[in-house]
Amino acid sequence: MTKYDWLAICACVLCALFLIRFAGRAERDKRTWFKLLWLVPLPIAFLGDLSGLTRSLVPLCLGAVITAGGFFTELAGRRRLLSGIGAGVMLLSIPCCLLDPRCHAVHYLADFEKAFTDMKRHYVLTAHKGIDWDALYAKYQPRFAEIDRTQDAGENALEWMRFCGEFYDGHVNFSPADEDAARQAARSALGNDYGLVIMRCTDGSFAAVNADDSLKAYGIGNGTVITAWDGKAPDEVQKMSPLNGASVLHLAEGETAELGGEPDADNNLFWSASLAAGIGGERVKVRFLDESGKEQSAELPKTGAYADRLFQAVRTIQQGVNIGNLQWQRLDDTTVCLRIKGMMYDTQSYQSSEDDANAEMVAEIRQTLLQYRESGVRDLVIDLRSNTGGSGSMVRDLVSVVAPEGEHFYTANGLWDDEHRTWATDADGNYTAERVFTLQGEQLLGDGRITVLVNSESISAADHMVHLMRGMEHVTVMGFTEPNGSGQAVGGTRLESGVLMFSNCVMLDENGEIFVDSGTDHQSGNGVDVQIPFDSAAIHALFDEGRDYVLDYAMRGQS
Amino acid sequence: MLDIMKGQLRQLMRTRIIHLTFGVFAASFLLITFLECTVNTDDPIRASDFLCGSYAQAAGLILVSLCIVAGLANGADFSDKTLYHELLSGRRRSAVFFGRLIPGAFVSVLGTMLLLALPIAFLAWLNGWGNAIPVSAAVQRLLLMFFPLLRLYCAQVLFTFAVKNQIAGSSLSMLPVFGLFTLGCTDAAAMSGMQILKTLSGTPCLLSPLNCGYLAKFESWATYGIDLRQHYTYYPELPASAIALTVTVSLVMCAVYLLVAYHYFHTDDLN
Repeated sequence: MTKYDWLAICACVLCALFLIRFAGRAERDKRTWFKLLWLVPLPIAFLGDLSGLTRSLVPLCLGAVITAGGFFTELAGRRRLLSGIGAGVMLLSIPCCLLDPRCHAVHYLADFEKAFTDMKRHYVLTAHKGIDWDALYAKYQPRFAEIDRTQDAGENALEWMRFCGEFYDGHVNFSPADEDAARQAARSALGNDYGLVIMRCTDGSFAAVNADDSLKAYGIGNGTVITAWDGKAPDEVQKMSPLNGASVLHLAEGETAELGGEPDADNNLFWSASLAAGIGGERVKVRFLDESGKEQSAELPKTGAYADRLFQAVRTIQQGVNIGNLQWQRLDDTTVCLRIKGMMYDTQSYQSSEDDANAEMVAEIRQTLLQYRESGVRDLVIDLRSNTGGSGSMVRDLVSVVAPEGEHFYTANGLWDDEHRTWATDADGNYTAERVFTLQGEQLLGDGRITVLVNSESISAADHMVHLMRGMEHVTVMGFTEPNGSGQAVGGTRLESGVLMFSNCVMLDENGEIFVDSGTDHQSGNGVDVQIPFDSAAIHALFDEGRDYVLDYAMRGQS
Repeated sequence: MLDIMKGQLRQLMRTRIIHLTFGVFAASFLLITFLECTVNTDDPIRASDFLCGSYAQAAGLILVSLCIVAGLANGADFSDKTLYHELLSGRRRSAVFFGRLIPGAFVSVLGTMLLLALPIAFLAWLNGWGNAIPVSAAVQRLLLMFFPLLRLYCAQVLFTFAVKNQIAGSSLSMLPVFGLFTLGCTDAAAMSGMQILKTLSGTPCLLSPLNCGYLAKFESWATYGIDLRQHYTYYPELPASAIALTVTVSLVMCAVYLLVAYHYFHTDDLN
């Protein structure tokens, strides 16, 4: 029951009580407009309903209608009776509001139905990813029906994250309206903190990261190989997590992490044990290898919520050079780093469809790069870690500055069938390419080497940039993981409980295939030239020494 | 009553201010349409594209014309006392009331519907219909619009008989009518995040201008390419529940407004 409900009920009842008193005077003094007063509770009840229609306020409206009966009679007794009954009926709204669990209920099931319909109509990767809509509906409709019954906002957010994970598409995600509830639910579902996070190493073993100092007593620290968690392999344990395969998790205010439901199977493998160390009861039995390589075991008590430790670990692994978007940092005499956190220069250029929308940004980058060249810089590191994407035209213009001279293919728009108002397909159901977008390389860096740093959060336009640059002469893409692997542009549907975004626009590569996004083989069209081993050296550098291991690794490669 | 109706109809058809009102609104609407469709001469906007696009926002103006004409049709005789003379000469109250109400409804509601159709017909003649939605969908919306327009007319009748003035009732309602229509046909409510606007927008049958806005808006989906060129898909089908609510709520509210208006007039006719 909201304060507006109280306000409306009190105002209507007071009005009806006033009319009981006023009926005598209205009978004596027959001014016609007096009778209009008996209609006043109607608009008040109507306004009360505007704070959100609910059946619990039906008695309020009914009471106002009964009171309005006083308009049609001029007998004081009848008017008093009608106003009195009206006030009594209005008061029934209070218990109705207080006792009705669906008073101002959020329509979670209606949201699901709407979003599902929109997505089924407009999701452009249905065939490419082999989405079975009927199976998805059969699986999730009963779950959302239950959430609609229980009105659990947190569980609703988690269910959407599970639903989004089914598409293994970084562009399918749900932004809950009630972020606090979503965060609390995610924190609760992530489980308990036992003092460590487990990550899968490149060699297939599992190691402790972000280990608490208190675990030193057991002989466990950062890099310690974990062989079993409560008797099972950590990646098997992860499968028991209620969030296994879910898309973006809301872990802290304004901060999210994507640890499952990854578009690319290789990236999924990288995170395949990250949720394991939150699963367990009061104590968990962990088996690990000590410094001599001998297997040991320990029983670890739970100490708090796993979400905080996991979030800290994810941020340490996914970190980028700590400067602002499109900022430069000189790394040594011959190397400079350009950090690109998002493909957006300013709002005007972001929203513009003009060819020269990014002219100011290009001029600025060109000038800066030339200045660095004059001061002896040869090589460039482009840090795209956790780049959330943005403008395609910015990618085109950024890459053209450093790309080898000549014309380079970027992407092709799908052909829009204006008659049928849908993306055109050929007889086999494949999308047809329409306009091809290319760029002219300037090679402003000459023969200098370019290293592009990525992580599994480098998505969308960042994915485009990697796809464009990978394979160019002098360019090396590296990271612990591949970039996210989600290349189509997005649209969204606004719901009462949040916003659902998904791939909505067709972009194709030079072969007329879907640009970047992974298909049923769970392999995206993007990758890295050098996969940096996630091993004990990386773990110690990241978690014990606080170094940016990925950047250091790139610099070692440069030298 | 028939003779009053005939007389009223003749009077309405010859009233210069009503001609002027309809004429100004028709010219404004046509001008907006013309400007809209000549912005891009390379890719002319066809009637169905305009109807699904910027039509709704301009159409809100036309509802204001209904308020004005409804006020003139029912309130003009309060000022020249014709209405009182009729009553004093022994005409039945119901004949005096409905003799004005029915011709007024005929002129204002049908006139408004014609105005609403005018720019679409003009554009269809100029650039063709297009393929955004079928003609039948547009006709269905326009015909359904009759019910909330009638409801709006009846509300105006109530205001006019309550204030006994041809201008006051319609002037008071112009701005809310235009605002509510705009709210009904745009996504402003969802974007604003205000619960009161969301409730209004999400329940179009609550108020007639909202209902008109809802009928003027076509559910759409936008997509685009890397060059940000947008493509729209429209879904003109109305849910059966929306059609049923539009018709039943409109008719019920018409009856309620007229009942209240007549009752008030009945007890307050010679004041």
